[in-house]
Amino acid sequence: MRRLITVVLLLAGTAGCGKAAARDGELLPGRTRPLFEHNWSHPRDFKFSENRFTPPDPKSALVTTTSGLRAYVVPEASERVVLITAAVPLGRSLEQENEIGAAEVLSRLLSQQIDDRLGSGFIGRVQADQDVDLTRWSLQVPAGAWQPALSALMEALRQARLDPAAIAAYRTGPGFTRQTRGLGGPAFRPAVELSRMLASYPLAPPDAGVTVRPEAIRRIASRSLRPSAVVIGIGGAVPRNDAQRELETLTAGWKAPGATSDLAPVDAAPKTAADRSRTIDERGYTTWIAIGHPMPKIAPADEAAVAVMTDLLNIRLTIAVREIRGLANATQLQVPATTRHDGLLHVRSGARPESVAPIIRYSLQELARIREAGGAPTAEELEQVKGGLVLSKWQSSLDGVRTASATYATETARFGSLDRLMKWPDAVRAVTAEAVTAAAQKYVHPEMMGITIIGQIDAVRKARHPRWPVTLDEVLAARNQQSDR
Amino acid sequence: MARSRVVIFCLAAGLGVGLFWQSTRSSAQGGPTLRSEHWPLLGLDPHELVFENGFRIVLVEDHRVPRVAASLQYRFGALSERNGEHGAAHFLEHAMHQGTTTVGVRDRDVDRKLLRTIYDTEQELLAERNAHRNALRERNVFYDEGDWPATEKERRLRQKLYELEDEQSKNRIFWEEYNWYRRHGGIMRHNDPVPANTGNELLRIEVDLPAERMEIFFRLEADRMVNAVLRGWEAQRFTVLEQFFVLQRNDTGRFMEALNGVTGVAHPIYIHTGGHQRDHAYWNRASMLRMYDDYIVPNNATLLLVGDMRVDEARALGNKYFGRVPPAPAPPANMDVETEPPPGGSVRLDWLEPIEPAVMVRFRIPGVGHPDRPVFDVLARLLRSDTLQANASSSGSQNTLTVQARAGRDEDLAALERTALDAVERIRREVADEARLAQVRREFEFEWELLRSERGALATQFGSFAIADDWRTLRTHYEARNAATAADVRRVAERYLVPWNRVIATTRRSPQPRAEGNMASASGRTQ
Repeated sequence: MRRLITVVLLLAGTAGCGKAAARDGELLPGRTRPLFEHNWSHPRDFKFSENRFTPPDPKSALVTTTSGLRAYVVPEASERVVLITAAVPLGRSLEQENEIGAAEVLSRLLSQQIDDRLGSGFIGRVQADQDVDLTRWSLQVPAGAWQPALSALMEALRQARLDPAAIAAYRTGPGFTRQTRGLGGPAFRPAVELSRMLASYPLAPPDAGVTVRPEAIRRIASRSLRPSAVVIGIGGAVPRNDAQRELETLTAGWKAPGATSDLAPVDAAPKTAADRSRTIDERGYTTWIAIGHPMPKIAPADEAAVAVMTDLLNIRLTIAVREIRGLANATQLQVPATTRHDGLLHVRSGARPESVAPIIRYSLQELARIREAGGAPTAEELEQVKGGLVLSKWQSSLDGVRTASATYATETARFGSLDRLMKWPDAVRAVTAEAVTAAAQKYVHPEMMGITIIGQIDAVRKARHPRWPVTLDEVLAARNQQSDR
Repeated sequence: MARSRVVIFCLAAGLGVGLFWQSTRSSAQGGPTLRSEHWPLLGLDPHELVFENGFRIVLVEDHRVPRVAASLQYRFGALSERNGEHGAAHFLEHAMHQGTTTVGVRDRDVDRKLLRTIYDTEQELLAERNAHRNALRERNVFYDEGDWPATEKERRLRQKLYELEDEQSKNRIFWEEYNWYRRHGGIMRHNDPVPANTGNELLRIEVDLPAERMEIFFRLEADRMVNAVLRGWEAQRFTVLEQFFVLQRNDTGRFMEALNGVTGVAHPIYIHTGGHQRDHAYWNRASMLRMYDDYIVPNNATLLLVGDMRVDEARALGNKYFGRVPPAPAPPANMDVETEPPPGGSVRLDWLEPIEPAVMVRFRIPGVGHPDRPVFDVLARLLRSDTLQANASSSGSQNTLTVQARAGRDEDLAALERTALDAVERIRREVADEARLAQVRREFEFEWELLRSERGALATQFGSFAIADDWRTLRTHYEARNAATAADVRRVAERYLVPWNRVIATTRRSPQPRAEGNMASASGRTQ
């Protein structure tokens, strides 16, 4: 009987404790709310059903006109905003001898002509983006207005007007924005100055003030504005047949504007600067940094491993510089936007003067560590990065019909087909820790890195961080010793 | 024996009643109220679930892509800060992203002991500072943001805090929450481990995940709501300071802060979310935890979900996670968000640091929820021209209509100011052209369709309205602006676009040099 009473009492007690634990939970120092004691599983123990994401079928989306123009038409009746994309192989990496600046001038002229053709009553958004190997025009328009928008875009590409006055007035710019305000974009001045210090055009932007001759623009237009080179994407409430018919009409009789040239694009040449560091004074509270070296085009077989390595290094750099030491808000590793051309591998950061030298030190340490056996990625790190590359980056590049149509057009214009894109998840999942280490050893060379610093140079030179004490001179001397070995 | 039976009967009956009471309470706590709406003009059917603890979920189903955008919004921001601790709300956003009692830590017991030592050390630091507060005032360093006075003991205690934090770092799993999001396909606004931002009256956390993995968000964010542990506090203090330097201490940042200052006439709604540089030395865990306990509570939060999720799924996850978090007292109602026009009329700001030349003519306007507010969206469009840009701000309570003109040369500023003021005067005196109004409505329709088709942006917009007034106001606002007439525009212009409600600011490429001794040191030195 006593046993029974004890059991009943225990049961009664347990029934009351469920709430008591939450109500009278532990109070951490400084808290007025008690901790909430829960039994929620840790994320590592979660099991999920299979991911259901499937990109729109590119094969059924592909339309090829009689003139040879390719277009991806991805219809979705409920998408009442239509995105029309023109992806054109046009950028400074594709310029040949005596064509410096021609890609930029041509893209500006075309942008103006697209605007003119759309007219002042146009409702929608137009955007032009230029990488070193590709220019992309994106028009977002109401579904009912896709035909005039497509027409304006195609007519501008087919009948490019090379306005002599605009060409004569053009001069190449400095290649960067001033004052530096953040780490983003190709115009981040320390990276531009670093590329100029370490290599010639076209890896670095051309010098400021260069003029472009009309013949150069005609030549590059003849190569880039060919129906077989331009790739169109159309995503939204546009019936495929209607789009195909319209494209057929708009491209009827379109031929390349001239004979193509078989000359190779200009190659960048490395520079051998005696001192691979440069400082530039600029007012402002933040001093900006770029640390890096030229990076050759990436072998297709290495691309996935390099992508994993890049994301992994970005996590490690942020933990080392920001999370543990509070040196900067952000530190980013950037590899070239396009993997099939030479570019600049570099770390970008910006911080108060006392942080600059430690940022350089810890960034170089992380870049060196990943090349060593002891710095190989753990299984956990690999899973995090692979998940991010496939479920996040890859999916977001194909998220919805508008984005997918644009990505298909861009990928095809850049790589010739969608093979790489569609095989990307498998390629990423196959990357091993050894492959990451090998990619790091092949592409990351801390001993070769140059450094540019833009900001309060006097203050940076005098500063020594109280918690992570190193001066700029010390960190540069150590780097020079390493590269002399 | 009989007595024993009675005792057993009573105990069993008591247990039964207790368990019954327990289960009905749980089921009442677990059964949120559902309200569904049909918005035919906007093409949306939002659902609202309100849980017994006050937590609210607003769901817009969109099954085209198997992903869900989540925007968790707290009605909390720079307006909730104490004087002397400005920027602390934004800092709390960072500090509460450093793990919880179950995430981001290796050994909870080690963590617990260190937290106590860190807290006690900081209390000692605060006591030292308070004891010497008169001696620590910056009497000799006018406008010099850097060489702040501190006692030797203060310096020693701060150093001890740094060392304790280094010790704490050895027991941490850095980036753990963020890495769970990454691993499961989270698309985040930021590339750093704090997928959040803080305004004057909102703190929002936003992640877009594959639909089948949304439980990760509920698990991590419900835990963060009640069990956040402020680790790595000193490192984050400097990270936040770096953001302050980049965002607020560049040339345009300083100008905008000054413009907001004169617009709000020192009203706290216009205090920059980054705070003041001196304040960063005064931030402390104790006051930050008070804010966390007051505001980061279920009855002060709304979760906006847009994407491939059904009401039943949202309800089930809400019941399992946020719905179980104990409610807290209603947060302090100190969000006095209405600014008053300055007595005495139009304010003028002539900026004396070189920036690209421009004129801004700005008027205070009513906030979202006021019946006149939608008309300002129309009014701003009508004011736009080849020369003029105009925008009605939509960020919480910083409610302004700003007409801006950029000049090629400083010499053109006077003419541009006249152009802007003439445009304002015309819209007050003349009836708007119907053809132009029709064009504006078409622009609105396009922009709405664009917003409606972007999960993340739509979730954010719902949240902005929820914070500014009510999420349902999104409907009335968008419908009202589409229905605004020429007469509405003129009435509103006549009422609000008046000189005594106006600020005129000019920036120049070559302004008059500042007087010697009135210059910020720009040293960037920190404590």
